[in-house]
Amino acid sequence: MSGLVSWPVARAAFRERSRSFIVGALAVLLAAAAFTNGMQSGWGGQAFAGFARMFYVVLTMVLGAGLIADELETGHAQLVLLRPLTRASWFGGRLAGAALVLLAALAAAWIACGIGVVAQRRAPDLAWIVTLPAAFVEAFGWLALLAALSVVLSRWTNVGLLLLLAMAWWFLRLVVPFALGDVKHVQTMGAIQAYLGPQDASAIVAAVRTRSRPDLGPLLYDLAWASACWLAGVLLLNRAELARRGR
Amino acid sequence: MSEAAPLSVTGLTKVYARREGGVVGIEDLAFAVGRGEIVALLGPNGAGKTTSMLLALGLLHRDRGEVRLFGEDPELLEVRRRIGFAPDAPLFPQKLTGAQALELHGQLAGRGDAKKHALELLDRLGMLDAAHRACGLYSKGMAQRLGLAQALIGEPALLFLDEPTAGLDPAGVAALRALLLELRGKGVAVVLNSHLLSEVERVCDRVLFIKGGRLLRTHDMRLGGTRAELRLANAAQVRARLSQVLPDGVLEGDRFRIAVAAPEVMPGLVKTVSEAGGEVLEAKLAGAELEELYLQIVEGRA
Repeated sequence: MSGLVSWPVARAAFRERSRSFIVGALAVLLAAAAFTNGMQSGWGGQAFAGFARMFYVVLTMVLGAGLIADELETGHAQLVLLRPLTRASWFGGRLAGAALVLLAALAAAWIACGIGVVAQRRAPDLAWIVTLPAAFVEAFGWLALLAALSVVLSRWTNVGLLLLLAMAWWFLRLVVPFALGDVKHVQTMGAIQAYLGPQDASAIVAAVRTRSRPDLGPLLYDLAWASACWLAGVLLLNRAELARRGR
Repeated sequence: MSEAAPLSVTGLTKVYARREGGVVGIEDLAFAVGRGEIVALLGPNGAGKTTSMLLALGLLHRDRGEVRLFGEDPELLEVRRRIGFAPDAPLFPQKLTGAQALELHGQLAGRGDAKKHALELLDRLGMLDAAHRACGLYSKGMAQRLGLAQALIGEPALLFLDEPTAGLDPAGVAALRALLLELRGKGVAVVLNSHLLSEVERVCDRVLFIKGGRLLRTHDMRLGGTRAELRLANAAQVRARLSQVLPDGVLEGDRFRIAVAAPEVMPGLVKTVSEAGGEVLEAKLAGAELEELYLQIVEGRA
């Protein structure tokens, strides 16, 4: 594991990212939204629904913005990578540090939701427990993608590109079926979309509630997605010149 | 068996563009730095000094040539344990404190007592008061000192310093000088880029003059420089003529002084002065000032 993740780098990235005012504000908003969800629904499975989902998506973007580029552009990366550690473990460390901040914020919101449920004189159930890993794994997949993009894109443009691509896709999804004159393409494009990024794993929460067999596919897909992003990020980083000249 | 040189560079080339009088980058650079030796890279801006350093460290990809650190491939992790690099104007993560940034480098360098050692180093460099302040609030000089501390925290056997005096106050420059001399005493090899010739003169063992991406000359400071001094019988009468023929020379009283590339040029110099009408009573060689050498070798004034 230490070959994949440098823990001193992860700790430094955690400290650095968690001290951002925006991250703190979003974490508070996320916890408030999750608490409200728990209070209103009286069910822990709603922890990351509605506004809470919006806040953790934005939080993921803020944490992933410039995650690697910041270090490359300031030149700090070249100092760190002159130490006896591989680029893969440095990349893994940066990603792990940001992921730990995300996990901490999600865990705080998750607990807030649990408190909201208890305040309604109900007990948090198994579905409430499952919401945390389900939300985290999906968000981690997006974070890994942002980290990989951040190797080649400067500062916050990794987030900008992702938003641009998302908008372009939504537009295509709307236009293509009509342009081709066949509404069945709506379904086709919907099916394609499921593979254009990490998948929503919250269906597991509903399955747990109804005591039906949960589909672990999205969860496993998200883990595979994050691993692929890590690999792509490391390959791009290995090709990069670390010195600041020309940047 | 003797240990390999801390740094050995042969045929090192990285060309961004070609231009009249040289290249943008580095071409065919070759030099070595021995244990306990302090070597300076001197040259005008854009000469390729920083590029040479970054190539030696493997931070830039070279077009061709070879770099060996302690006789090994620079990419080997074990080799990297033995090197330190302080860049010009280093930037550390803005939200981390100086002590935390240094602790990170200490841990990565494999020091078990990284936190304690970080604070000791900051104290040594006069930064203890600012140790727990965010790096984003540091002045240029403080960041420079932190960069130096970062380079030293792994107790390197080979140290690269890029413009280490930039932004330092006189006390900081003096502390750096003392530190370099102490490191030399411990056998640490140092490569530095600096425009502060007076400091280079005081601490360096060798100087590499670089211009247009090419190594012009290596000068051993331990052997002294070369300056010609001629005593003239008719100095006042030939003053104007000499300033035309040898504009880099200085006439003080009856003595005409000028930097020369090597002792062999002395007869030619005496002839030139004689042809300009000067009656040479005495001619001798003395050690040259580094600045004179720099102007002569790099700027082509002789």
